[in-house]
Amino acid sequence: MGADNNMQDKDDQIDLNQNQSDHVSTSGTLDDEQRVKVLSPGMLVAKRFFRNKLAMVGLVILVTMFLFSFVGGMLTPYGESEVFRKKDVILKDYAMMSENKDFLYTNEEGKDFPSIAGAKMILAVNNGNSTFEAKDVTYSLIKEDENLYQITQLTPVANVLTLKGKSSFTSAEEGGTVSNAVKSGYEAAVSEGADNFEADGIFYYIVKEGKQSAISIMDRTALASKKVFSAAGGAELSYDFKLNAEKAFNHQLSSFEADGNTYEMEVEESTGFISLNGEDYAIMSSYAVRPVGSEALSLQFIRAVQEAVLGDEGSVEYTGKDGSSIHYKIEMKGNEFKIRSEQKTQLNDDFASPGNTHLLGTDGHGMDVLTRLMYGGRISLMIGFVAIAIETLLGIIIGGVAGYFGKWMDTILMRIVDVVICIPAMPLYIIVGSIMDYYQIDPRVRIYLLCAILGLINWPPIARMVRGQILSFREQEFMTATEATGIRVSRRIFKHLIPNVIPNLIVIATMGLGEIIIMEATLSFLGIGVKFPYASWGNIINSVNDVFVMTNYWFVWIPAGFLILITVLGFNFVGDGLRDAFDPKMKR
Amino acid sequence: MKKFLIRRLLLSIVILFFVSFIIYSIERCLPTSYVEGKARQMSQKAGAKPYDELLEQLTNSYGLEGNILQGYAKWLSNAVKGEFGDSWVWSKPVTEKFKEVIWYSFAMSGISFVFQVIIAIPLGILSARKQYSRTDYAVTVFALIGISLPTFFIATLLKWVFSINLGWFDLYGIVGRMHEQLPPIGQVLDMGKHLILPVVTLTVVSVGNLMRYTRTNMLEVLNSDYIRTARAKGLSENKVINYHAFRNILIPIVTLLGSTIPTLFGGAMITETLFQIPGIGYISYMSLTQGDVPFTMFYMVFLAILTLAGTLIADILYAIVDPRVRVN
Repeated sequence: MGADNNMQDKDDQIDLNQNQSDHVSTSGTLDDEQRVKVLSPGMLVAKRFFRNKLAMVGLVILVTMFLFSFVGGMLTPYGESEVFRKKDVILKDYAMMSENKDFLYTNEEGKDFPSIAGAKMILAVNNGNSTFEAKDVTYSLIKEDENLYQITQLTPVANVLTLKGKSSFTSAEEGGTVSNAVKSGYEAAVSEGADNFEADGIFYYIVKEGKQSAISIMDRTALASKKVFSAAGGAELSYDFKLNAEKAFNHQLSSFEADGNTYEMEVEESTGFISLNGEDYAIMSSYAVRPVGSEALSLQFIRAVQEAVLGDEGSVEYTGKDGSSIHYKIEMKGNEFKIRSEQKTQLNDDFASPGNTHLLGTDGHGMDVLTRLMYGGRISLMIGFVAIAIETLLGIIIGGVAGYFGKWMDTILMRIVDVVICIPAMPLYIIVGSIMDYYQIDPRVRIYLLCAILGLINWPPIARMVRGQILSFREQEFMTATEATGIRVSRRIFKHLIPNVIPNLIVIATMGLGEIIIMEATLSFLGIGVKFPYASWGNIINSVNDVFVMTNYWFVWIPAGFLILITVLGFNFVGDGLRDAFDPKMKR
Repeated sequence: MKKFLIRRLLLSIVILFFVSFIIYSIERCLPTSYVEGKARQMSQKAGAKPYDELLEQLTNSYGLEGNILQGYAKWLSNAVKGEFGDSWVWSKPVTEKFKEVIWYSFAMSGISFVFQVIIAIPLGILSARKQYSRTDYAVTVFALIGISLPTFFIATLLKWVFSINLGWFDLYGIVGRMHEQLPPIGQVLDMGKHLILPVVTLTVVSVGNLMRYTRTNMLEVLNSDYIRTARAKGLSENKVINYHAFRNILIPIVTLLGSTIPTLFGGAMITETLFQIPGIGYISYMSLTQGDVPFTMFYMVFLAILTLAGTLIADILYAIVDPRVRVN
C-alpha cells in the first residue's frame, strides 16, 4: 500500500499546483496562496485518515454508538431496570355451581345431630323406615316432602300395653305417672291411625310393636333437606326459618312467617328468593354455589349467578361492593357450572412485541429492550475503555522500563510477560467469575472487578510492542541527545520515548477495545460477567440460552448482537484506518 | 540450533512452573467450604464413599491441608509423574477423560483450520493485488466483520436460521437421535453433519485474522525491490505473483500457521459449549463451572503448554523457512 499512498500524496501535490495555477498572481511576490502548503505531520495523518472511507464509516458508527448509549440513555423515557406491567384479562375460577344431591342438616338450637346419625337417616329414608337408631338414641323421621325431613329425637315417656281394646299405661321412668292428656291423646291418635299426637304443647310419637307400643317425646333435632340456603352476610338460618321457607316453597306461597318475621318468597323453578321488607334475605335452591377461593360469596352474587343460569345466559356482570364491575363467564362442565371471573391482573409485560410504546419490545423481565440496549452500551463501552486504559498503562510502564533499561530488567520483565501470556484467559475468567459468584459480590463492584481483570490479563502484547519500539528508538540520535543534555530518566522515557510509541499504541488500543468488548459480551453471555439488574449487550443476549426465547422473540437478542458487531466493527475500521494513516509505508 | 532448542525448552519449563503456580493459587481462592460442599455432594452419589473419607481424600489429593506452597509442591510432584488425579465431575482419571474428548476438538478445529487456509490465503493475496479496489474493500470488510463477530452471536444466528427456521441441523450435540442404528459410514456422516455449524462458526470468526495477515504481508512483499526488479525484467504478472511474491509470503504465513497448530488441540470453548460438541472445550467449560479442580488444573496447564509450543514452533519454523534468520 506504501507505493499507492505515495502516489496519492503526489496527487495531492498536483492538486495544490493546480490550485496555484488557478490563482492569478498580480504582484509576483510570494503571498500565502503561492507558497507551497506544507502540512504538519499530525495534519498529514489526519488527512490520510479522513480520506479513508472505511475509517470514516467506522468513525460514524462509533459516534452513533456513543450518542446512542450515552445521550440515548438520557433521552429515553424509561429507566434501565424499569419493569413494565400490563393488565391482562385472566380467566380465573371464581365459583362453582352444582346441583346438591346430599341432605344438608340444620340443627335445632342446642341440639346435636351426629354425622353417624345422618348416615343412618339416609339408610332409613332409602328403606322407607320412619325411625332409626344411632348411638343409642332413637330418632324418628317426619316426611314433609320428597327431599325434606324433620328429624326428631325420641325420649320414651311411657309404655302402653293394649289388651282387648283396653290400654294400660306405665311410665318409662321408675315411679312416674302418665298424665291424662297423654293418655287421651294416645287414644285419639290410635283411633285415627296416626303415629303422633300433641298434648299440652308437646309432641309425642307412638311406636307400635304388636300389642305393645311406646310413647316418646318428640324433640326436634335437625332438618334434613336437599335445598341449599344462602343467607345475606353468611348468617346462619334457623331451623324454624328453613322449615317454614321449605313449606312455603313447596306450596308455592308468596310469603311465610318464621321467627316472628314475615318473609316474601319468590319462586323460580328450583330456586326460591326470599326477601325481608323488600330486601334480599336468603336464597334457597337445589343448586349450591361455592366459592373456589377462600372469599365468601355475597348473596347478591349468588342471586345473580342463579338468575343467569336459570335464564340460560353464558355470562354474568356483577358489581361488587367496591363498585368495580366484573364480568364472569359461566361454563357448563358436566353437571357443574364453572363461574370464571375475567379478572384484569397486573403482569410483567414480558416479551411484548415491538410497537409504538416499546420500539424493540420488552425482554423477559418486562423491561424495554431499546432502553436496556442504551444502558448496556454504556456499560459495555465503559468496561472497554477502563480495561484498555489499565492494560495500556501497564503495557507502557512494563514495556517501557524493560525496553529502556534492558539487561536483567528486560529479561525479568519479558519472562513475566511470557508467563502472563501463557495463562489461558477464558478459563481464568470463568474461574474468577465463579469465585465472584460464590462470594456473591455486588453487581456494581463486579463491573469494576471485571474491568480490572480484563486489563490485568491483556497487557502483555502491548508491553511487548512498546518494548520492541523503544529498543529501536533507544539507539537513535535523539535519545543520545537527551542523554547528553542530562534529562532525567523518567522524563526521557515518558517525554521522548513514549510519544514516539503513541501512534502504534493508539492503533493497538483501538483494535483492543473491540476485543475487550467482545470478551466482556462473551462473559456476560455466559452469565459470569455483568449481572442483572445492570444491562450489558452480552447479558441481554444471554436470554437466548432459553431456546424458546431464541425461537420466538428475535427482537430480544438480535439487536444486541448486531450492536456488538457494529461497534466492534467501528473500532476495527477506525483502528485499521489509523494504522494506515500513521504509517503510510506500513512496515507492520 | 540444538543449543537454541535446549535453551528454549528449559525456559519453557520455567515459565510453565510459574504459570501453573499462578493457576494453582487462583484455584486456591475458592473458599475452603467449597471442598466440603463438593465432598458432601459426591458422597450422596450412589455407591460413593462416606463423606468423611471423601473429604479427606479431596483435601489430600489437592494438598489443601497445607499452605499454598506445600499444596502446589504436592500437585507438582504428582503432575510431573503424569498423575493429574480423578476428575470430580466425570468420576474418572482426568487424563482418561481428556483422551476421550480431545479428538472431537481436534477434528472440529482441524477442519475449520483447513477451511480458513483455503479461504483466507487466496482472498488475502487477491485483495493485496488489487489494493483499494472494490474487491479489496469487500474482502477487508468481510474480514473485519469476521473479526468483530462475537462467537456466541454468530453461533446463535446460525442455529436460529439453520436449525430452528430451516430445520436442517440439530441444535445441539455431535450425534443425532438415530446414531446408534446407523451403519458405520452413516455414523461418520452423522457426526460430520453435526459439525457443519460449529465449523462454520469457527471459520467465520477466525478467518479474518489470517486474511488480514496475508494481505498485509503480501502488500509488503509487493512493495519490495525484488518484485519491482521482476516486473522490470518483463515477467508476466502471474509469474511475478506466483513465483516471486507467493514464495516470499510463505515465510510469515507458514510461521503463523505452524504456531497455530498446537492451539487446534486446545478446543474452542465457546463454540463447543454453544453447540454442545463434547470436545475438550465443552468438557472443560462444564468442569470449570462445576468447580472440578483436578480437570481445570490439567486443562489450564495443557493450554499453557500449547501456547508455549506455538511460540517455539513459530521460532523454529521461522529459522527453517527463512535461511537468513540466525537462531542465535
